Amino acid sequence: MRLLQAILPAVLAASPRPATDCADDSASLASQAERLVASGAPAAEDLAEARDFVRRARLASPSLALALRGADLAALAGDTDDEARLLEIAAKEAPELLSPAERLVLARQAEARGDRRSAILQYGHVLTALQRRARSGADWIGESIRRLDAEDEARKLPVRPGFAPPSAEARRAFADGKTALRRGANEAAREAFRRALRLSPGYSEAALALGGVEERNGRTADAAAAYRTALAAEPDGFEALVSLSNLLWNEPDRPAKEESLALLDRAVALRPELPRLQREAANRWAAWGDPARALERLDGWWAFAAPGERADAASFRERLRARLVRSSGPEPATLGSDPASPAVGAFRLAQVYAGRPDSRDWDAAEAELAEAERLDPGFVPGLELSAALRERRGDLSGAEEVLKRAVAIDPSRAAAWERLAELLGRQTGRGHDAETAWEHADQAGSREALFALARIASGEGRSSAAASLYRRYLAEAAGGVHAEEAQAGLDREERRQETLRGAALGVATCALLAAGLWWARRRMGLTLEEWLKRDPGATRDARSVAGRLSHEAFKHGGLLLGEAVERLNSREGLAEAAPLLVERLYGTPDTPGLVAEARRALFDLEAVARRRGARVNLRFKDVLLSRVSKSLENLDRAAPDLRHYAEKGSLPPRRLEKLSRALRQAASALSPRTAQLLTASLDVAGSTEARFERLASLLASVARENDAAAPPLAGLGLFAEAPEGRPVRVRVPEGDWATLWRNLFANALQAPRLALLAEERRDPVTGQALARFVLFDGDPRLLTAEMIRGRAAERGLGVVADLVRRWDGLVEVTPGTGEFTKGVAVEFAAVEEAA
Amino acid sequence: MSAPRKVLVVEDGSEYVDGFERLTAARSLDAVFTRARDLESARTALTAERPGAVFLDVVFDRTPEAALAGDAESLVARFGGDRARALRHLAMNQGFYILDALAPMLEDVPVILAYDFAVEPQRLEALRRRVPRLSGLEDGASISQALEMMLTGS
Repeated sequence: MRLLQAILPAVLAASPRPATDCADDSASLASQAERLVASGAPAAEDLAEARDFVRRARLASPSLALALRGADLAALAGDTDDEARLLEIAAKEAPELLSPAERLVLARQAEARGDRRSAILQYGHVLTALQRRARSGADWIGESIRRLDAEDEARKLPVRPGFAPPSAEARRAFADGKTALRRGANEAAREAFRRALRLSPGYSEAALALGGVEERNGRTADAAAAYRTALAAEPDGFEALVSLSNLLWNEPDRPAKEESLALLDRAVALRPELPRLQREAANRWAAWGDPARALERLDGWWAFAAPGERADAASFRERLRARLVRSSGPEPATLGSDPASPAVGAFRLAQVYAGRPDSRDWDAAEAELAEAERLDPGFVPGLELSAALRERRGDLSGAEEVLKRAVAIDPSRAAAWERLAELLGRQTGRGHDAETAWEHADQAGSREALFALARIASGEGRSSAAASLYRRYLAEAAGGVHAEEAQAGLDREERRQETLRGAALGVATCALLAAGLWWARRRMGLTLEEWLKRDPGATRDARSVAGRLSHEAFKHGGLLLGEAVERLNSREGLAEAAPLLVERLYGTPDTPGLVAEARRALFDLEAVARRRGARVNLRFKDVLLSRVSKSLENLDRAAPDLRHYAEKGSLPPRRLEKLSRALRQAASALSPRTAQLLTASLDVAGSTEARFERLASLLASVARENDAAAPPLAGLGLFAEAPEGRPVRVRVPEGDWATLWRNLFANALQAPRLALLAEERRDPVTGQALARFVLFDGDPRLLTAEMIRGRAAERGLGVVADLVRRWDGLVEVTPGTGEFTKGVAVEFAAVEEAA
Repeated sequence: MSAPRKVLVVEDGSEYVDGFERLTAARSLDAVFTRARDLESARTALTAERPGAVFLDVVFDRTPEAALAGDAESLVARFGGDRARALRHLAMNQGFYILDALAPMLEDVPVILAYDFAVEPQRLEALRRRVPRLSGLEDGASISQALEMMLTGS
């Protein structure tokens, strides 16, 4: 530039002078200016006139040469303002012509006139130039930039923000912004939040939201400004403190980091119950090089930490203690975004260019960022800004690639993880990747991640996880842009959990009820044995029904199913027998089938019990009949497969196996053996051991009741066998047996003596064992069987007739011998003794 | 080549004879089955040809009253004039009554009664005094086992 300025007069002087002296002609004016200062030390008035000529010449025809000449003449005149202004003009057209010194001048001039953004731009150029030349010692330039930045931001703050609530229109704008955010329309959201702030400058929520948008878009300075706006409106705004602290900590300059630490400490002081903040503060103070403060924050966190977390942090704590003992002064910081990085200058410039709306400025920003990466490949803030620019241009894959590089270098960059997660979330089929990125962001301290993860969990139905994340967000970002939505989400998830708990309770209740019903089903009621023991008189009716059950289910069913099992066990298979099985088991249109008949018999048995006032549980509690009932159910369920098998001759292996199991089980339960056991149960319940001494005792009892002397009783037949006679079991229940003899004895008390005959016989046709008892007496009064049967309704012999009829017995009157005039004979079926 | 074994099946339905015929066909056994639904048809069949074996059901609850074997009137008197009881007794024990009626014709004919005498061995012995080659069906016996018994006469 100096060289150009040196030759400029010669250039301008060499310009051809017009024929006439035309003051409006640019070249003429420039030439006149040169003539006035040709001596090199013009007088003040000549210099002033010359500057005027150059000014008029520029107005007529602006050019780089005239701007430079004007700047030169201004410097000669000591007019630094005009010099700087003209240099800036020249720099815009040919920035490469300006030297760092000139830029420094420009920066100061701009600063002096209050144009802080321009001053920042020029200071940034100076810093870059020095970095390129590997010159150090320019920390003060960085500080100047930061200071100017802060001043510029501060200038934008309202003088004294009022505490008036935001206007309705401002709130609408804010709501529009949030809606746009949810849609992922960041630019629209940005505009809406800015509008809200314009309408209500003290609208801290809108400022906070704007800060978040700006930060995600890489407009760090604008983001910081927005956060500061929020803080100005609400000095103890926790969310704003933390957001600004995090933003500044990522900035590659010490003052920013220093302020970040202070902000974080304020946040910790506001919310001491958030241990994560204390831990973060400890980390940052340790990186800053202040182990004492780091240890102080770590000890604050230690009280809240879980045992596992303490174990993980134990070595860190020891290192801090060791450093504290070892060092007596500040330690070098180990900061991720090192202010001493050679890339800082280029990065700063890039930040400024990136903040402008013109896409050509973005090109400039990208050029600076490329330079920054060349100077320091590990400078992460540059990569983050580069990603933001790519995203702004729609190059999502490029942005993703850069962000992945950034987090690979420094996994603790919450902002990078957030941007990456948002990028991935906008792409179809990348939901899982996005969630993973949000999880990393959460680990890096992002509160935005909490909200994002909560929404993901809620969408996937993970209600408990979603509620927990919403709670964390509300705790750590109560004033955050998503606070309302998070609260609504939490309420929704808590209601859902309440519903699920209610449903679980309902299910548990139903399960308990089912269990109770199951227990009742299997425990309540009487078995057949228990029933008949209580009511032996029911044996007769039960035996009748049981006989039907035995015939249908156990005899016929046993034969059929036994054959089926035989076929299954052999290689014959069931195919041939299947049609017959189907017909026999399930019936035809004309016949009910074995299953239906057997089931009816069971129902009839229960009906008998009900009529006699007993509550039986034969199908679930009775060991024997429950197996029968279950077998009938299994056969019912097997019906479709058996029918299919009968029709097609084949069945898929698994179904055939299932069918085989059902048939084997049924064959086991519906067998002659079961019939025997059933008969035995009936026999035990419905039979009585007829012993002579017991009957004699009964006679004595009846006599006492009637105030009469018991006639002597002699035993005959089986009752005559020594020493006590041979007992015989009759198929008459005990109670009815006793009643029968009481009545017989009551009608024989007048006899001088009695004899009781007991003998066994068999039915001549059926071969069934019978027991016959004849009570001989000497009562001369006429008595016939018809007379006995005819007086059924009366006490005494009528009762005898009734009981005999009930137990399929016989009663008759036989002629007596000797002193006995007659005998009343009763005959009943006997239980055959085992051989 | 031996003649096919002839079996007389006495039942009020066709459950047994159908099962026997199907099994015989499936196993290509050499047997012929004759069905008799009551005493009179059984007597007729026995008179026409002496079978190799007789299978006799016990319960004939589908047989009309008039066709029931046994002295119904005697049983009515025995059951104190209760006719319903008498007839029910006859139906539920009809196989025994048929057996009794045909006993002279079954002296050396294997007879299988569809009754399990496992807990009444003395009853079986008593019946064998009149029908010496009488057998009951054992526990869990299947149709094929019954057929085996009839065809082998064991």
